[in-house]
Amino acid sequence: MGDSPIVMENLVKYYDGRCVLDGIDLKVPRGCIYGLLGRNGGGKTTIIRILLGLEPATRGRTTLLGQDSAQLTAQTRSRIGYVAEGHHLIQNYKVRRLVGLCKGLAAHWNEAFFGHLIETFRLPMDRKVKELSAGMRAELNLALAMATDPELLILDDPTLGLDTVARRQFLELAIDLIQKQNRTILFSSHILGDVERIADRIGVLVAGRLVVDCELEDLKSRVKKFQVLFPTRAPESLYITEIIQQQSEGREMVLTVANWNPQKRAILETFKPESVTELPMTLEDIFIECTKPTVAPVWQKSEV
Amino acid sequence: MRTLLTLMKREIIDHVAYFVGAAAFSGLMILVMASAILGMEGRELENVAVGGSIPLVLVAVVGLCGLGVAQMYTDRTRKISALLIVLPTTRWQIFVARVAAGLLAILILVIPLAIAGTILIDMHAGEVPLYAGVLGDVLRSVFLVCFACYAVGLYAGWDRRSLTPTLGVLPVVMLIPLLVIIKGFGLEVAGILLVFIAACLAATWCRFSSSPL
Repeated sequence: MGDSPIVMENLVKYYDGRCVLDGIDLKVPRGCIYGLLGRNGGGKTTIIRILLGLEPATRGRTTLLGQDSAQLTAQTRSRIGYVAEGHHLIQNYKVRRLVGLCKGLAAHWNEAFFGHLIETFRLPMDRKVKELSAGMRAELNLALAMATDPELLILDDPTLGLDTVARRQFLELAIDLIQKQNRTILFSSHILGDVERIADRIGVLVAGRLVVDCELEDLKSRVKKFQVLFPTRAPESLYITEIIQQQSEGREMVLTVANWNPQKRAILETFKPESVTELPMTLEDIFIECTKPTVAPVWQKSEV
Repeated sequence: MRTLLTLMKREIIDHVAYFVGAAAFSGLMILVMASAILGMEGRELENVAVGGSIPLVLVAVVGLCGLGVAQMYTDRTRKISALLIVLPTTRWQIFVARVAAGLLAILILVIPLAIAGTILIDMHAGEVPLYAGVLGDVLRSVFLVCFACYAVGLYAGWDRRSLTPTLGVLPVVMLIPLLVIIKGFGLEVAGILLVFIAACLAATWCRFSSSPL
């Protein structure tokens, strides 16, 4: 537990009889920047809200910094920074008043660092939060979260609703801040480029299940996509485990496999294919393959 | 303690109109009370005091119920607790600070009345036929009625997503002062009101502590 600031054990959540999270098991190691990927409505925000004790889980257990999420003390919360999806700041407050409130409640407040961020982001202190642009609200939220020097930072789709320029600017500053300080970060997003730039470990949520949980480089190296040509009609089944996607048309088969290894290649060779061509895959391709409806949980930490 | 004070300060600033209103209302009631006592005598005074104070009490309790509703309703619609809870606070601290701010508004209303009442009764000792301790009994009842109406407001404000159905609690709020008017200022009524307040606060806390923010 000491080495995992974020722990989820068999996390299940139902909304109105609909299963949103289906038995999530996850441990985020200390110092890790964990990117949580998933389509809109995939359960990313629900996981984060349960972790922070904003809503109860139907079943299972989650802990943050070794403490049960439902019973986080003020002291533990002072070690956590959170940037919410949509930036839930008090809209009718002026920035100065909101900052004063957060400062008044914080156990530790790095005034110099906060001042630097406000200056960098050029945030107007005398304007109401609702008068700020979405980008400015995101920056204000990040600045408020970072000013407490949190040991654990949770960013829930922080670039949602930002235009490309604002998103790039926000990410560059976030990366800069993150790299300077060794802290554990849980970063959820549906924008793959954002996660790819920041995360060193990723999880992919599909239909409430965590179908991927491994290091980003591992993921890229272990998922392979092949175009296989058979002399006659492509076989219905290749008897290879951990197939993510398999599409056949005539003698051609496009195959996406996790944990590709010589044993799997040997099995494929028994079907005597005419040619096996590896197709290049980006993270986006991997994500799209993983989030197709037919995918079963194929590779998690234990299997990689 | 610092956290509680910060949270209380936020509650007071956000609902400052209610606090100013409580002070102004208290002043108005003192004015009515003083002019009645100074200008009339005996039965006439009793009739005017009772007749004049009932509408004022009703306005006060509706206002305090409104404060409770406003505190909870604005929290829910503006997602205030959703922000506060991710700062170094707990739901219990947010709730306690909220109720403490409400109590402060009630005290702003009741304490000046208590002081003015004591002075006026001292000035006219013997002229008005009152039993010893009447002021204490009246003020205790006023305080408990105000607190009960405020607690109903807290409960209703969190319970409803739309403000309109909250108006449904108004009959309950009107019935609470009637209890005192009918049953008097005795300890029996105080006991009933205390149980009612505890039940309202407990129910509100249960909802607030278990609701998604």
